[in-house]
Amino acid sequence: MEAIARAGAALVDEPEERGPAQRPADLRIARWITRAQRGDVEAFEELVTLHERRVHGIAWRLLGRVEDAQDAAQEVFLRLYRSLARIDAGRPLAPWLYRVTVNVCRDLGRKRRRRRSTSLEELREDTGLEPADPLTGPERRAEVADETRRMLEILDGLPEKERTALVLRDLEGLSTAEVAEILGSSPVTVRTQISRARLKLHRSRRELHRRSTSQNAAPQNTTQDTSSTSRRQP
Amino acid sequence: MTDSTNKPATATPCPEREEALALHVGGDLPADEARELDEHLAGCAGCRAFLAELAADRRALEAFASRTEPVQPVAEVHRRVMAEVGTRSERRRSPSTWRWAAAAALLLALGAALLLQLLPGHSSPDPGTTGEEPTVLAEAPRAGDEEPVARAVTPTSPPATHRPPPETPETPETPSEGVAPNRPDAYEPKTVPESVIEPQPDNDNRRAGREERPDLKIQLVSDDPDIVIYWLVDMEEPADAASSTSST
Repeated sequence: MEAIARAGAALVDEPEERGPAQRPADLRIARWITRAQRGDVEAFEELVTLHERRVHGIAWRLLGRVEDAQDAAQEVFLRLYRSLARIDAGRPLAPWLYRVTVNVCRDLGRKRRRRRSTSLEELREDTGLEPADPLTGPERRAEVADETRRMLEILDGLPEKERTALVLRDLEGLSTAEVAEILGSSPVTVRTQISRARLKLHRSRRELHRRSTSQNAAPQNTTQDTSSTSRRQP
Repeated sequence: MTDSTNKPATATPCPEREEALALHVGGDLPADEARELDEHLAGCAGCRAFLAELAADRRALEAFASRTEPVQPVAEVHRRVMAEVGTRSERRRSPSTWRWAAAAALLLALGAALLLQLLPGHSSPDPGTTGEEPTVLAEAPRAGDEEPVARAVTPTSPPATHRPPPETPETPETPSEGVAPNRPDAYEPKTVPESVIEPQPDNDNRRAGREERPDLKIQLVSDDPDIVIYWLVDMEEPADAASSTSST
């Protein structure tokens, strides 16, 4: 009787395997999803742990502030928890999570005014940015912070869809096909958005370089940041 | 602005090649287009320089990505999410207990269903195989059947009446000859009151009519109501009959 009960439980516990193409990692995630769907909080926590860095990273790069990114990431995982019953354990979870992240960030970004860090201290606080080499001098640290801030400004100046495509492709390293799936677009559309984003990034860097070159030529005020507010483009 | 190349961005590419170059730097061009662009690059210094600048942009992006991966905020997200989920899950208990109960109930139901199948009276009537049948009348093979199925007729059975509509009543002369008054209906083997002869595993009608009966009527039935064949077996055969296997 005990053997029968164990066999029955095994049938109930294990998700149906979909075929030889599934990797062990995919099967492991599928098992966690199945267990989480039955109320296993530990299994849900495994899913969170596996995806939280990436979700938070995407959110931060889309929203620009750590506080906003935390709120967005929290909302993403709570949506996952509420939607567990509708999740197909046989399909990869990451595209679904990233799609929700993009949607949450879009909604959150519309509600909140995007504010960028304007000082080095704010930037460090916002990003947890620390120089990799503790022996790096203050000048180098200031340079790094400057570059980071400029990059955030440039990203902020891109149209929303182009920014999202660029962040997912070039910063998160997802393939064009994966980005297309997350955004619900075709690969051709995504490629167009990526190419335009890269060209705008290039022009913006060139413009900033020209500006900083002309500033260096004139009497300097290195703590000034002329772009204190960002504009959002649709 | 500093970047890894420390070069001012001044390259001027072919305008119609800009988008292709922007894709090519990230390996996003289809293979045939990439080959075609490579051929162009071999002969165009402006496009080559522009591609190099795009590559510098890409390196700056990668450096930005590697620098800006905060850890503490992620831990905070984790804490907040699990605090919220933990609160919600306390409201609805883990269904592990009812899951086991449901699995056990399912197994019990399956076992009960199997037992019911094995109980007597639940098996489907098969005229050729049950012990209730004295012998069987032979049925003409139906579609899919490989051999005739014999059905039983005993001497004490009531006269044959064909109750089901498809079974056409026999010709007037046949039922009366040598038929005992109490023959059972050929199509109602269950009505045969007693079993005189053991059912045979094969459907040989002559063996079906055993020696104890004075005579035996064997009726062949088929799906065609117009076809009914009767076979009367005289069990008291003269001594010079071919076979003396029948007993008196």
